[in-house]
Amino acid sequence: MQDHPDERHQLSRRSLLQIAGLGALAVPASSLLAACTSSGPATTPSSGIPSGTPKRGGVMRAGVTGGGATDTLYPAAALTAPSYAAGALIFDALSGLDRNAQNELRLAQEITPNADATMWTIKLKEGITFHNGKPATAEDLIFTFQQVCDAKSGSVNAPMLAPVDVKNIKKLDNLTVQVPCKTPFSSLGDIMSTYNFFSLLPVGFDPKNPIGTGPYKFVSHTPGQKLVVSRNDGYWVKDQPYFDRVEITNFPDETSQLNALIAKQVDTITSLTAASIPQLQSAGLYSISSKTGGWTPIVMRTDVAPFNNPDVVQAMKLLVDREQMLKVIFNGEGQTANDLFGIYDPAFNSSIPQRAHDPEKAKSLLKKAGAENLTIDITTSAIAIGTVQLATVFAQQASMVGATVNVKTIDPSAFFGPAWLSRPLTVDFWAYAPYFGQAVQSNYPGMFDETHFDNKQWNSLYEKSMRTPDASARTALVHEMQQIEWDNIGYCIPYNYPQIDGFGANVRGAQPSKVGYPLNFFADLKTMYFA
Amino acid sequence: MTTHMSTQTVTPTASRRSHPLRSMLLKRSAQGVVTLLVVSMLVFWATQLLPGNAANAVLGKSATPATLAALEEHLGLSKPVIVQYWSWLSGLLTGNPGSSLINGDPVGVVVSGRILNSAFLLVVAGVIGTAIAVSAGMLAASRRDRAFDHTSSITALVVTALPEFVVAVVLILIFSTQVFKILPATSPINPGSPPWQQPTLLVLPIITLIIVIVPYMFRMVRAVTIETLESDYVQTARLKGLSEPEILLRHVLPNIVPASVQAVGLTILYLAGGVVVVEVVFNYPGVGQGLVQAVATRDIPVIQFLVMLLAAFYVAVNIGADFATLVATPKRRVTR
Repeated sequence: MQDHPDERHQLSRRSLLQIAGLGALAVPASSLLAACTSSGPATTPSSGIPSGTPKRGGVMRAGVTGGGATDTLYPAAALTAPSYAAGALIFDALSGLDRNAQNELRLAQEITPNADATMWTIKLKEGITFHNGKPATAEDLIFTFQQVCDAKSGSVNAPMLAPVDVKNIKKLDNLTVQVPCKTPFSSLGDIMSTYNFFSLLPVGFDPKNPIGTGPYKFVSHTPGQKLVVSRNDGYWVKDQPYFDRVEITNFPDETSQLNALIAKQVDTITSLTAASIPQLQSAGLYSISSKTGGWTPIVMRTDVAPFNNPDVVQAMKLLVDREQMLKVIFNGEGQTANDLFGIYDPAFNSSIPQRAHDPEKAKSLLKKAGAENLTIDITTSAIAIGTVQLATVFAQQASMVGATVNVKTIDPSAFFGPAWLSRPLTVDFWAYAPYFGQAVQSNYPGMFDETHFDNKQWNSLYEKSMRTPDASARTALVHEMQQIEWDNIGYCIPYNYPQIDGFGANVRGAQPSKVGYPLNFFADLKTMYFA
Repeated sequence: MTTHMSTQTVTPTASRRSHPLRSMLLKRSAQGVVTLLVVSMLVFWATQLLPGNAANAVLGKSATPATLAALEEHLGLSKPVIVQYWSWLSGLLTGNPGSSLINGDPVGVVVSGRILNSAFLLVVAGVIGTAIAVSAGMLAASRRDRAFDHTSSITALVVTALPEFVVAVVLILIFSTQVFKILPATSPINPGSPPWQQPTLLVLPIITLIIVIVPYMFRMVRAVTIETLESDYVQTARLKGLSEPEILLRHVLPNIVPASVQAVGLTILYLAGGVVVVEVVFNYPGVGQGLVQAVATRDIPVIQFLVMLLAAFYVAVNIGADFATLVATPKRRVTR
């Protein structure tokens, strides 16, 4: 019998379509789910969070997305959700942000600058031990600085610490070190609280067998799949943590996470879209949707056409309908923003009035600039929740003022490829950081100055701030800098994204958080328990 | 001498019989090796065309020109493409498929669990699916135009039209999240343990694959069986008084093997690709997921290894199906 050519052709066509359909998999699958469940209105967070009394026991199985081969157990190299989870579970940072996005000391009892910010004194709390019983001392502090300040170790935030004079760090006593800086560096304290990356490492740290001071001890890790840790009974915070074990499983997308939670294969899932909130409700589960300080901006390079014309930049900021974006992308969750970052920083300039949605003014500014029929590409990628939709809605809103914006969607590796930081119009994703933790990365030349801002006036105010360790004196400088940003920088920040996490009915202890990353940057795994 | 001569005269076809099969195997295997070589070059070149490389994937947002250049140098990505390709190929030929560019683990460690997981799904779904399709196909053909034939043919047609992920999602809705709630909705096999140690996680993925592959094989087997049932020797068998089951098993089954083997071969090849969709929907840690992750991070040694594995599998199954057809068709062998 011969091959049947038609059948064979049909078969390979089908397999081609299905490989192509992989990318569209999540959308039709989740709408199928939605169609089969009764949908209710999205609830506000705090009203629906059950409470109880903490007690020990149980295995917390948590789901995350975005993991892959780059998952690491070296906290300073963390870039993916499973890596940040490992950082929060196995280690403690010297300081961090609490759930209200304010600096809090953790392992350190003191992080203080001298009068001109050329020297910092850092002192550890007493009685902290690593998982192997060894006490945490100044030697470990010095070792940690040596690792975290060295990009070659894999530390991704090392450039933020460039002013630190690592070679001359001195031990003052068993728990205290003195950290000299090559230039005045008043923002070191803020930078150390950013993203949990300044975790204390023991001398001789081995990423294949990580030892930390954290609430859980390392058990096993398979990159892109699973991380398992077990409770550290000697944890320095009384009574914490509560779970016997925590298992972090990586999922390819939201739909499979949702299915796993509904089928009780996991207890917590993270970074959901607003569409999941009613589905969780109807399955007897709950979600927490937090307004956060995290932001996904439209990024414009102001050193090349067309955005080297300030009128065009203004027009872009004015044509954006922020409420509509929140409604379309997040079903109203999250909060609108005023083109400024660092919204929870005590120095934030809240006297700057909210920029209005003014398409008429936008049109006239474009006309004035001779750019009435502006045509430009915006490059986007699924680097975070809403980044692709942000570009699409922006393009649609731009067409209302006569500008044609073509959306080009590419995969994340291509997005961070050679053209990264050089695209004239694109998007980005930032979890919340204190003002100076953010400004050094995105406004000051040398790190991720994606708008190519390099504004002389702003730079000199920034350098002056570095010499001003007194927080209240620095506030006046920050207010000025933010006014310059609001007027000139190539960032349109229409909203601060919501952080939506889902929970099984018996999970307790998670609370809303402003930091803009799952489970309060995974710190809630210390305070969560089963009812 | 005498024995040799007598062997030749007694069974003239015996020695000639091995030659066409063996020469076919040798020729096709040589062609297969050339195919694999060409595939390896094409995929290597295609990965180079993608914007970004493994260094971008590792550093992500935090890449600065200096750190990027340093990492590219460290990973050997700044060498000319030909040099990179040759060092990969020479490594593979000496038994060293290299290490992941992303985390440095040997490729074997990174993929062995995934290969086992996917192979297990493929074998179990393939065997069960084939058994169901062949029995149902033969049954439908022998009861042609009656109730069983009509219902099974229409069902097969409807199911063929469904995309694979629809089948998977519907099964999840019915058995896991909405209607019966008895089976798990995702199948994250524990890394490091074989898939058969967590059988409940395997049920829905395997059923999905079976549902997807049975209709095609069923229709093929049914068509071939109908044709065979109308042949002279089956008429003869009926006139001789043999019962229907005897006819089906002793006369029809051996004769439908050649065409069925082709259908089974195509199905196995389809399974190798179709497993990818199942892996995404069920979060099943197999080769498909592994390849998708490797491409996303431009992890060249892992991509090359998995692609070569899949290509070798394709070549082997093609050769195997044609070989089995030849073996099952003595006529073909002798006329060569």
